[in-house]
Amino acid sequence: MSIRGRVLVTLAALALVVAACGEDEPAATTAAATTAAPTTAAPTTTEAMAEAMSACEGATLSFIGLDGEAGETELQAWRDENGVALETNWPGSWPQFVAAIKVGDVYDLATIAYHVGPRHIEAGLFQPIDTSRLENWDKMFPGLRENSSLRGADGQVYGVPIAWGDGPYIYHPGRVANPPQSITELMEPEWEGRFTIFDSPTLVFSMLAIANGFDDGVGDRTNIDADQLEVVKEQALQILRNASAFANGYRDATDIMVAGDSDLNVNGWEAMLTWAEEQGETLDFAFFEESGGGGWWDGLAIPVTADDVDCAYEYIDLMISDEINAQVGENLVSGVVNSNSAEIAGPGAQIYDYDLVRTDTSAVSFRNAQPPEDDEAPEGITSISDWLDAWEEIKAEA
Amino acid sequence: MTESLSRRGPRRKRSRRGTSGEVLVAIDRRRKVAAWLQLLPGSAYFTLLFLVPLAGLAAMSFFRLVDFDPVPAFVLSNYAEVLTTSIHVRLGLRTIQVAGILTVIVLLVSFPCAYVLNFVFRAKRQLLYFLILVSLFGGYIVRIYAWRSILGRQGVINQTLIGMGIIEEPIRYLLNSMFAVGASLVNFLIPLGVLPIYAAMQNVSPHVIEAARDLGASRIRAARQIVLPLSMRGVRAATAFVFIATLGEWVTPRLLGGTKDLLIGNRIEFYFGQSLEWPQGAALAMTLMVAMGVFAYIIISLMKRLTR
Repeated sequence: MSIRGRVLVTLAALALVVAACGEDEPAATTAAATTAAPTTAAPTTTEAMAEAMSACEGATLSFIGLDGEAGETELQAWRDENGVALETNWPGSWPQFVAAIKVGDVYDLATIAYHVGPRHIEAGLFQPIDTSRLENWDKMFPGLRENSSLRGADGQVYGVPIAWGDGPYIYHPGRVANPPQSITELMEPEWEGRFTIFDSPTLVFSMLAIANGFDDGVGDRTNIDADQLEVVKEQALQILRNASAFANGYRDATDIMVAGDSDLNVNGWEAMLTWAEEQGETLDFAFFEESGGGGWWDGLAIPVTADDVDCAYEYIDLMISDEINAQVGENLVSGVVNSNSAEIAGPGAQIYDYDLVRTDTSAVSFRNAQPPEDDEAPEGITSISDWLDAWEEIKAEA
Repeated sequence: MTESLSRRGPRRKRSRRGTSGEVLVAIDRRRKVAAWLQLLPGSAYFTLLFLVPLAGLAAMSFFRLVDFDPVPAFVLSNYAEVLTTSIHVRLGLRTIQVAGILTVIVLLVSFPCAYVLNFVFRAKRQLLYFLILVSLFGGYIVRIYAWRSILGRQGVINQTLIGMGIIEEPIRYLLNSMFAVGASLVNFLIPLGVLPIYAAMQNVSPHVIEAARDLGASRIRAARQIVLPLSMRGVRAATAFVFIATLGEWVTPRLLGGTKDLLIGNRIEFYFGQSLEWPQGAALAMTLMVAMGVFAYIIISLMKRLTR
C-alpha cells in the first residue's frame, strides 16, 4: 500500500474512532440541560427558598432521569443565586437507568415514575424519604401523597411526585375521524399499522381487564386471575399485531405522529399536543370510555448512591413548593402536586381535573394499574412477573 | 607471523561471528520487547474493558436472584430457564434467519465492491474505499433516524413514488418492519464486509486476472474462479463479522422495526431492564455468545469445505 494510501486509511480509522465516540448522545451529560417541555416565564425566588439554600450552596447535584423533570428552568434562578450546579443525565432507557444506579454511579436525584417505581424501589435503587424533612409534603394532594406506588413493601415513602397526569391516548384528528371508544377497537383490521404503543404490558393489560369486566378499575393494582390473563393476553396479541411500532418515549411518539407514520399513540400525555404544535401539527387527546386514561405521576427520588443527601432533600422540597411546582406543572403540561400550586398554575396545568387527587384514595383515572408484585399477589391472582412473561410471549408470537 | 596471522585470522573471524550473532540476538530481543510493548495498550484495553466485564457477566450467569439482587452462588437454573423457554427458541430462530439473510446480502454487495475497488478503479481505490467508510461516519443512532426519514410515509421513497405517480398512497410497511431493520443493518454492515474482502484481494495479482482474460475468461468468470478462491480468507472473515454483529443487534429492531420484529438481543434487554433478572440475562447473553462462536465455526468450516 502506498504512503498516501496508508495515510488515508489511518485518517479513516481515526475518523471512525471519532464517529464511534460521538454515538452516545442518549447518555450525554449536560450542566443544567435544556428541558423537554416548553418553557414559560423565568422563575422567581422567594425568601423561604433563600433560607433553605444553606445545605446546597456551591453544591453540584447530579440528576439521572427524564428530561425537563429536574427543575432545569424552574430552579435556574435559585441555582444561580446559590452557586448550585445541576448535571442532568438521561441514559436513554429505563434499563440503562437501572444499570447506571446499580453499578454504583453517583447520582443525588433521580426520576421515579409510577409505572416502574415499585419495581425500582424493590430493586433497591432508592433510599427511603423522610417526609418530615419536606416542608411542602403536607400540601401535596392526598391522592398522590397517600398513593401506594410511592411506597415500598416496608411502607416507607421512596418517591416524591412532582407532576401527574391522566394518561389519555393521543391521536391525529385529521387522520382519525372517529376516535376509538374502547381499547378493544384497536383489535379491528381498520387499525392495522396505524398506532404506536409503549413496550409495557401494564396499561394495555389493565385497560383490557377493565374493558372485559375482570377488574373494576378502582384502587391500586389490577387483580386478575390466570384464566382472565389468558383472555387479556389473546386480545393484547391482536392489538400488538395491529400496532405499527413501539414508541420509545413521548417525544418519539409525537415525532412519529408528526411524521405521519402513526395516527394514534396509546398511552399519551397532553404535552405531546404542545410539541406537535411546535412542529406545525395539531394533535388531540381522548379517553377510552370504560377504562379511562392511565393515570401517572413522575417524581423525584434519592438514589442509594447519592453523595449530597441534604441538598437533595432541599431540592425536592423546592420542586414541590407553591410557585415552583406551579411552574413545573405549566412547563410539563401536567397536573401540579401541591394543592396551593393548583390555584396559581397557568393554563397548561389547569386542564387537569384535580378532584381526582383530592381524596386519600386515588380516583378511577389515577391509579397504579400494575398487578401485585410477586410476593404480594393474593392466592390465584397473577403477579407482575406473570404479566411480563405474558407480554414477552406475545411479543415473540406477534 | 604466519602463526600470529593464523591466530589473528580465525580469532577475528570468531569475534566477528560472535559480535554479529550477539547483535542479531539483541536486535531480535529488542524487537520482541518492542512488539510486546506495542501490544500492551491494546491488550490492557481489551482485558480491562472486555475480558474482565465478560468474566463478570459469566460469573453472574451462575448467580442466584434474591429480591432483584444477584447474589453470588453457583446455580445452573438460569441456564435451564434460558434453554427451556420457548420464546428464546422462537426469537433465536428469527434472529439466525435474519442474520443469515443479511449476511448473504452483505456478501453479495461487498464482494463486487471490493473487486471493483481492487481491479477496476485501481488508481482511485483509496479514495473509493474512503467513500465507503464515510457511510460509518454519521454515528449509529443518527443513521437510524436518517433511515426513518427515508422510509417513513412522508419519507423520500414514498414521496418520490407518489410524485412519479407509481403509487397513490404511501407504502406503510417500509418503516417499522423487518425491511427497515434489514436496510439499515445492510447499510451499516457493508463497510465491515468490504474491509476484509478488500484486504484479502490485495494479495491477488492483477496479472493473474489479465492472464485469465487473455485466455478468454470473462470478467465474471475470472472473478468467480480466480479472485473468489484466492480471497476466500477475507470472505470468511466478512461472514463472521456480519453474522455475529447481526446476532447481537437490538437497537435497530427497537427503533426501526415494528412490534413483530424483535430479535434475541431485545430479550436480553428485557432481562436487564424490565424484569431486572440480571442472572438470567447474563445466562442468555453467554448462551448467545457461545452460539455465535459455534455458528461462526460452522459457517467458516462449511465455506472452507465448499471452496476446497
